[in-house]
Amino acid sequence: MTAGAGPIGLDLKAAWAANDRALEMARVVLGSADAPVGLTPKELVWRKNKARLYRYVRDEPATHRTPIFLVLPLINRAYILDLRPGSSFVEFLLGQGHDVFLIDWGTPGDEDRSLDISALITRYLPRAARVIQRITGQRQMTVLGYCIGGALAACFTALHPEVARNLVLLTTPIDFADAGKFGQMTAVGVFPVDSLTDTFPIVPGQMPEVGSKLLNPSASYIGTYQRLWEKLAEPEFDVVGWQAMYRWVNDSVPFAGAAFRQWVVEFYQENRLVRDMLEMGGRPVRLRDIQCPVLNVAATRDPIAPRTTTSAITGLVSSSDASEIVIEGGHVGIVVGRTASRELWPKVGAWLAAHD
Amino acid sequence: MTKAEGSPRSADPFETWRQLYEANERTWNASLEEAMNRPEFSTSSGKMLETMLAGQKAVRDNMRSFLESMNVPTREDIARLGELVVGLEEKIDQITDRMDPLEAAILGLKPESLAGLEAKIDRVADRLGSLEDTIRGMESEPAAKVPERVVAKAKPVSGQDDPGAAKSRPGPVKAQSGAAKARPTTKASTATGKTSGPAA
Repeated sequence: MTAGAGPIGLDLKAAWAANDRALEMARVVLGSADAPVGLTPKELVWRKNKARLYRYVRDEPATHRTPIFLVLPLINRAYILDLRPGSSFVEFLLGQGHDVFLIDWGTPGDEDRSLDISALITRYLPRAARVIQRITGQRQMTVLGYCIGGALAACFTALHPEVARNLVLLTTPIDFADAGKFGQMTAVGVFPVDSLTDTFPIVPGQMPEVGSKLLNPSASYIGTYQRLWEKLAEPEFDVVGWQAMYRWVNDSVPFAGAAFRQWVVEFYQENRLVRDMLEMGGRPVRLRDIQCPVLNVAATRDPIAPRTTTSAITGLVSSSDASEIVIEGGHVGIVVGRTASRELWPKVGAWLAAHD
Repeated sequence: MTKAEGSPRSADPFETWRQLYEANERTWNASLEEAMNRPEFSTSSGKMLETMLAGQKAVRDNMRSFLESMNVPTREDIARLGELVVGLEEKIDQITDRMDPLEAAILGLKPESLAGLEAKIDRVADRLGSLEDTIRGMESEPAAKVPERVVAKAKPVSGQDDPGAAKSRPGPVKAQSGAAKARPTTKASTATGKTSGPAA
């Protein structure tokens, strides 16, 4: 019998430890909704409807001339690029001497059911860019987009090439000819996009979220908690960091019906951007109109934006300086976390410094 | 000694689950992936979604009918109001877009060009002043000195030579003819000037 064994032969000490860990696990998971995120100081410089343009506060003037305009996805919270101190791409960019602006699309309401991607690109982004021009006194900026935000950034740059000094795309799907599992799920005749947007003027955020989790179901629904259970036994485990990430993954944003429909039909199903068939505000969107330097960042294990969708951009733009960085990791992991601070951020930082 | 006594892990309720997961994760993943890669999976999930949407739509429609019968605003009604506000904001933005270049142009004006503009305005004011003096001078002069051109224009309007014109313009003609009888000089010319200004 061991020292901690009870009267019925059960190791009570171990049982209590397991009980404590289970309670701790529940506390960590349930408490993640209040995890502190997006803590880098910022000021609101422009707003339109639900969209907000923020400028991150710098203690000293920027050492780089070209401001950076971050364009975030529509279906995720914007704080992914500023998750928490030490795990913040924004914080890294500020440290590198950049003037950083970020557009947060906010949470659409029923009144935004007609708000499509064209409106965001032709009515929102140009005005936000003008505000950046006015504040910084710079005519051009680096447009940096992540995921769907990257597709928006590419379309905006194609329509307004005079504004973009550089274009940086992080795991951005552009060519949907072979869009992986998402492509299968959203195929014509399979995905009832009209019924969906007819029933839900604002598509609930859980739908794209569940779709993403179904790309790797066992890891999403079981592996996450199994890894948490193991890590809770490690004294150096960063609980707050885990909570911040867990909060972001489950903090989905509803998708305005018209924007969702346009994304599924015109991008996924009809692949209009690559086929030169996309029009926004009565103007054709041609990727070949992009002439500024382009940096494309792809992830090796990214079922959301597989490389077949992300890597085409460098061959579609007219830029003489279009390069790609491929980073080992997943869709989110390469942007935030240890891999990001070791791999992505320094590489993007060096590229931006060379293209200022 | 029992197995539980020998291994503290046996008291961990999650240990069994962890072992099960680790042993089967790859198999589960492979099976799920294989199933999800089949077109039947996508078709089936699409149909499931469509069925769920039909149910959801029925609930929403019923709720709307109920709220309408109770004279309570529905979500759509409130959304329409919100759309109006968003539309107004867009219009304000459009006005701002048009104002911005104007503001920039005004701010971009140099002091020299402003001084030049002021001098031009002064010259225009001087010319207007001299024109005004000329008109006043004409008003104070006797009828004989009224420019021949103006008198010639006034004649047909008086209704003697062109009755049709008089009919079609009764107001001015009446005033004009009366004025011409009483004071054929100044008022006649003024009235004539008013009616046929652009032509003269």
